[in-house]
Amino acid sequence: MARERSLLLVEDEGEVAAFLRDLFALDGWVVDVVTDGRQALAALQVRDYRVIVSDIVMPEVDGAGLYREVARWRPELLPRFIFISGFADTDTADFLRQTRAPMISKPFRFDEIRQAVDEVLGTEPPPP
Amino acid sequence: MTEDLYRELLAGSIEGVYILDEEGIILTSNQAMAEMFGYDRPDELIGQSGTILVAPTERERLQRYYQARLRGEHAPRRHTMQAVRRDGSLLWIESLVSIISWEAGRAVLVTVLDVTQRSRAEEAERRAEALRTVAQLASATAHEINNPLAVIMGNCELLAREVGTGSQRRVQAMLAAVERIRKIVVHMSHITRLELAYHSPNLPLMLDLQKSSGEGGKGEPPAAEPLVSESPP
Repeated sequence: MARERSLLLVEDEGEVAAFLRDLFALDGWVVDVVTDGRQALAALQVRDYRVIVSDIVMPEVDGAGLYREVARWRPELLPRFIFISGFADTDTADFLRQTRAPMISKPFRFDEIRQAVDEVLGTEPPPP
Repeated sequence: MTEDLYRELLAGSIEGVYILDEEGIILTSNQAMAEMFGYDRPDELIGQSGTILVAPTERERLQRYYQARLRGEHAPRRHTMQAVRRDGSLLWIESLVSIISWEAGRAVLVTVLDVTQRSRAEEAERRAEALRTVAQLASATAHEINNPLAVIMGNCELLAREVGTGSQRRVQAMLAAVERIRKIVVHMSHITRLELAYHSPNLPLMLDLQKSSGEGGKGEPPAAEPLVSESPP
């Protein structure tokens, strides 16, 4: 069962990860930060996050790679993904658009992220 | 070579050829030349000044070359220039010039190729290349700016929660400025054509980002759609 306010942040830009972690923390989220898709997969094996916020362009396993791997291994987690992108026009962004996962372009107002989080939370019943 | 032989060679040439006397008057011409310039027969050109074939913008340059050549000074023998047809329409020609002996004196023999199609294709290729370069630079810049901009925006939002009401106005002003930069960056990453902005004669030529970007000035990227390219080819 997912911990009630647990969130995995996958972002290789340290400064972006830092302010996002603080903003999520102010909203009451317990945030774990990892810097690429490979580490995210490891974290997902240990904890059951309610929301996964992931950058797209990253070293090693990128956002699309992470999504594909999760689709194979734990597809029930897919509706919990939100992607953030610094670059609108990449093949990988095209792939993710196709998945219809929420996608937010950098830079963004935190409200845009909040709204996406609310949508993610709305797609599955809250834990008892 | 005799004048008659020149005339025969001209008549048989599939390239446009004409001969000018030292005053720049057309002595003889051929059918290919007449057709290229919209005349019915080559003899319609005879007795006319050679300048009637040259676009007004090119006349001074050509006159300079012509005088220099007859003085025995250096002048380019081969050049590409705009010419003008009988009906006033313009064409691009490449011409090759030689001095020949003619009757007792000298004359100028000019061979002419119509390169309008080639020039158009080259011009289109130059424009496409410029567009590619600008679009690549713009999307690279946009990409590099997005992360630091996100950092500024996110930290402004954090600041807004931490500072008192007195400083709110300043933080909001910063957020509004970042929002403006964000819109500029969106335009930059969607440049699909080059449109210049005309502000003032004292300013350097600048791209009009709104008109040049595929967004057409709406300021937001198109709604996400599966596998739809945002910049038409």
